[in-house]
Amino acid sequence: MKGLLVKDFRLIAGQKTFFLAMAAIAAGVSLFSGETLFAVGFLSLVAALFSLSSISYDELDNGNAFLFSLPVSRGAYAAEKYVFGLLLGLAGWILSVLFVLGVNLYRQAELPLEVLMTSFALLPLVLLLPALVIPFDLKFGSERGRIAILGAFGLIFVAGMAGNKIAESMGVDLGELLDGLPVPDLGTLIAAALGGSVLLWLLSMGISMAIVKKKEF
Amino acid sequence: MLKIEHLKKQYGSFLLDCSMEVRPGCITGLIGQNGAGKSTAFKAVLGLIYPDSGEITLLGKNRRDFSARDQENLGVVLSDSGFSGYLTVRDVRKILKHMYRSFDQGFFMERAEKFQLPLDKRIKEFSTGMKAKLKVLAAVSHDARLLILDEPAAGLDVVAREELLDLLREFMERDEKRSILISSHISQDLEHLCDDLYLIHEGNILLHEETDALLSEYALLKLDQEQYRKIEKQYLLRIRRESYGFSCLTDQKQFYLENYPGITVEKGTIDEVVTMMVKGEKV
Repeated sequence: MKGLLVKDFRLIAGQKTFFLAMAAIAAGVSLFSGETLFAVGFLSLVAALFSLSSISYDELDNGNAFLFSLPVSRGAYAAEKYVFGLLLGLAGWILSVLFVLGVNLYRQAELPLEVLMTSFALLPLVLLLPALVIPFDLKFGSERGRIAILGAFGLIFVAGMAGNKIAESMGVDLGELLDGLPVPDLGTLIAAALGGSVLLWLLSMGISMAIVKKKEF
Repeated sequence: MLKIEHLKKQYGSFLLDCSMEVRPGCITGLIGQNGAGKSTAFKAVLGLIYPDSGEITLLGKNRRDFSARDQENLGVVLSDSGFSGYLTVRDVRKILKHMYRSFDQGFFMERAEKFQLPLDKRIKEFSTGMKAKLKVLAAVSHDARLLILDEPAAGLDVVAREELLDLLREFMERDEKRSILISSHISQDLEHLCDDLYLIHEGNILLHEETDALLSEYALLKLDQEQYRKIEKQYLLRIRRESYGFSCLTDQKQFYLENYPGITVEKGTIDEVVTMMVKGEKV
């Protein structure tokens, strides 16, 4: 896996300008709009989703065929995309949190603890977004994968609507039901969200490994 | 080293059905036209596609049990695939260093400089020759036991081809148990390099022969109608009708030279043998 990580890091080294531009946008929005936490969500997710770009790079010019003739197992390849996305997402998250804390301390605008808690609340997304998208990219390829994921989200939306209608017809108000649930404190909520995201991330990784193992190149 | 037994893979109307072997210490060539099934056979050996049936034994192991670590013993060049064009030679060196425990960095960099490969330029900006040299160099830089090379010299000029072939000869000289499986549609490349040759056509192996035997024992007999009528046909592999009569391929040149002194016997080049095997009729 180390060789694959080295490859992907070498590939993104060629995207320095893109990352700097993204960092500049995040910093600009944070500094001028006062929405300091935008930088955390934006930079972490852009960085985490770079694992998808690395899949596109691998597919380019039938590159996968050669890649899998190197000492690379198919399972390790799929897992590496998750680890790569996680490393980048965490790096983006840490750097942006440090930036936001710095800005907030300078402005004495918000308590750093509050900023930290909200930043932690964004952390599950670093795991969830790649976990949702990577299996589609690996199964259908970068181009068709995007269409497939839109279709899947559409299906989830339709299923949600249908579920709501069915509940309504049975005289159950889902909104009321959710409101009636006990509200845990923010720390517990974040910990639960993180735990759930890790599980989904691992599940998604398992699915992706199975997808790559079946593929032919 | 490598044994393929009744490997079958169907793509629409195309069916690959081949058996072949690469012995230790040998360079085995696979000749065939574009679309003959060379790349499909290579991909099956490399585990890139799953055969419908048949067995592949690679370095003493069934292909199905071949691990990523076992893969370190292979050096691979594919005709239509390689390192990402966005990487540089320095990047490739770093990647290979982390992929192969036996990667020889010194050798890799020394040869990269000898071949005048730009170290910091993106591969996509390389010429065809530079890309081909880098592919072969990467394949021979990690102490592989078997090289699997699909059209490694495609699109190269004579000088660049010779440099590549020298690199392969040097690879073989370093360890007598190493082997190479190499494909090409340019038979001249293989004629001077290979110990034995397989000819593949429309997914089937038409011929397997030692290169020396192919060059010394195969011949083309140029016969008029009368000569053809009288000649012993037992040793004729293929015949083709020509304006003067018949052109016949045999693998028993000496027999015809001794018994039919009046006929024209031409030494068969590999290209001629291939053409006759593919386009000629069975007797």
